[in-house]
Amino acid sequence: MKEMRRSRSARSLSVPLVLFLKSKTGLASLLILLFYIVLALFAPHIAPYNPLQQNLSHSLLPPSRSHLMGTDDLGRDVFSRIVYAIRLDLEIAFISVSIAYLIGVLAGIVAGYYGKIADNAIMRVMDVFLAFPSLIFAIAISVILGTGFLSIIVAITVTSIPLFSRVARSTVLSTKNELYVTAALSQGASKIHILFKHILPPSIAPTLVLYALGLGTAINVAAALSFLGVGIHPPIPELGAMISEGLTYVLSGQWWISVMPGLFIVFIVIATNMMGDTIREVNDVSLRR
Amino acid sequence: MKGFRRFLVLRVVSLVPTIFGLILLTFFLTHIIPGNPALILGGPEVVSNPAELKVLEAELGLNKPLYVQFFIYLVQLLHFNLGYSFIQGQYITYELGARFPPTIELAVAAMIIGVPIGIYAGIFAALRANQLGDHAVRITSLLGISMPVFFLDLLLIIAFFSDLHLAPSPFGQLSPQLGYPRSITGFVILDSLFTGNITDFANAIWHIILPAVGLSFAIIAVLARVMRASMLDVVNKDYMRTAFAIGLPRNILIRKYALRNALLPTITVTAIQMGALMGGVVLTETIFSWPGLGLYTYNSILSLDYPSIMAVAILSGVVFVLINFLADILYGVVDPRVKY
Repeated sequence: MKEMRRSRSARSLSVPLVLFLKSKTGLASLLILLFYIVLALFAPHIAPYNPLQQNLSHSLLPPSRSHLMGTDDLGRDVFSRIVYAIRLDLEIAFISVSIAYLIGVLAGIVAGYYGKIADNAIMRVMDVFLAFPSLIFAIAISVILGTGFLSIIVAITVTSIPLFSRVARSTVLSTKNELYVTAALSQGASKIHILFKHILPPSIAPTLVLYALGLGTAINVAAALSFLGVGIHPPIPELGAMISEGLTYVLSGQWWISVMPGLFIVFIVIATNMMGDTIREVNDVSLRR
Repeated sequence: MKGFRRFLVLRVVSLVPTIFGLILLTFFLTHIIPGNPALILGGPEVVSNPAELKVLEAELGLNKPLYVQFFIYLVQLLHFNLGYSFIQGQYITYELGARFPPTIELAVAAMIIGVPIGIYAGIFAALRANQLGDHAVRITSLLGISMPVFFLDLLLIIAFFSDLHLAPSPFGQLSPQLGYPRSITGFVILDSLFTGNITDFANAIWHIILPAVGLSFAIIAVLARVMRASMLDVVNKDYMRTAFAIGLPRNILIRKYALRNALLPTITVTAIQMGALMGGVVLTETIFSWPGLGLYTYNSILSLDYPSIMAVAILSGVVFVLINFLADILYGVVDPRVKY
């Protein structure tokens, strides 16, 4: 009996997974994300130069064999800085989106399952959070908390929580009245048991889509905040801050200082967006043939 | 119609808690979170001067209980007083009023470019599902939702200003040698038109194109995705098959049966995009030195002018809530199936 149950649950998980890996977009997005993760994890081994090391005699060099992506105004190697910036941005994205996921999904499930007062209380707060344009809200939060790593994480977390709870709540509302839930209830299962065994699992896939999309958004917001000067401060390399640093040199022809980090933002966000789309497709039974 | 009026009243009433919550949250951000709000509101000059700090504390009513402070704050807001910027030495409402028109101009231009192109691209892709045209639209819109707006702006400047010399230098609304037209509405494009200043008018249009295109790319991308999905959804409906079976011409089938239904979701999405636009405006105006709310926000960030940033947050929150409200109403008006 136990054996059977295990094999069944393994299958139900592996079908979407196999479909994901079989699809071109799924595989491509996974490979791009892995590439970034490798860059981030092995940054000290991959970066050819110290990202903070200034060398004024080598300033504003165009991309060449010794400096793959050129150097900036202070003679720092742009590629090395990008590698470390990716490490920082991925860290910010994974931490903030994971925290937002946990809090948001839990709040959404509780709101949807218990309804009435819990639902109203939780969702009204979420409505207020959603009432601000998210970048403006993130700016306000990080300005008040003081700039830096932690306040970026708080800003991104707070602005993404409502999205997770909205989606989690809506899936709960549709599974709540399923026959198998009523059956479990009539057999005397406790509310907590039902919540975690029957209500939570079906809301994983739709929220996972948001998790993937959220990673991209987080990188975009972190870059935007740093670009505006409320995020990570120089000399610490961050992709958005690097774009901002190179801005004055773009008009005088040294485009690589800004454009290279920008391209790295675009590719990772494309990957997370493709990943989100593909997870949605493989979990949508109606699209399966 | 009676039902509609009831819906309208209920929807207006529902605005109250959201806007109240929004104000409460900004109050909370400035008054409860770390440190002395007098330091936050007063800026760096007050920090170094304890005597001045005391005066400011009394002036701001910080020695009163928190709920009294909130009440004072609320009454001030009802009088459209968004606070006093110590750094600029003037009331914020005054400055915001002057910053509004350039931003509205930019946002409207972005919508005028973005909404029709986005909707058309979505229809175009849906009618060629899984063909070359569809793939092109899907890849472009994937790029559009993934690209940070400030990076896109930068690429546009490199391409159209630095390389092709088609766009003007990315600084502001008019070329520096031109004087601003006499202010009637505050909108440069309208004012120059009303005063018959064709040089200014042409120059203003020339300057607004690049930032507006940059802002509109995300709108195009999102609308194209939504419109494509919604169109595909409608095309596969039973009534479409029936209409096809009856032998209606393809043209009528698409325009009268599919399009009108498929357009509905774009109303909500457009409203949400206008909210996102306000974030994009901060970044775009910073890049193009566009003298609107966005550049104001950026300058406030640089000078740590907290009251101004909070004022922008409240203002954009309220505008966003109102836009969503209008979208809800519009949805009800356009879709006869919505019953109140």
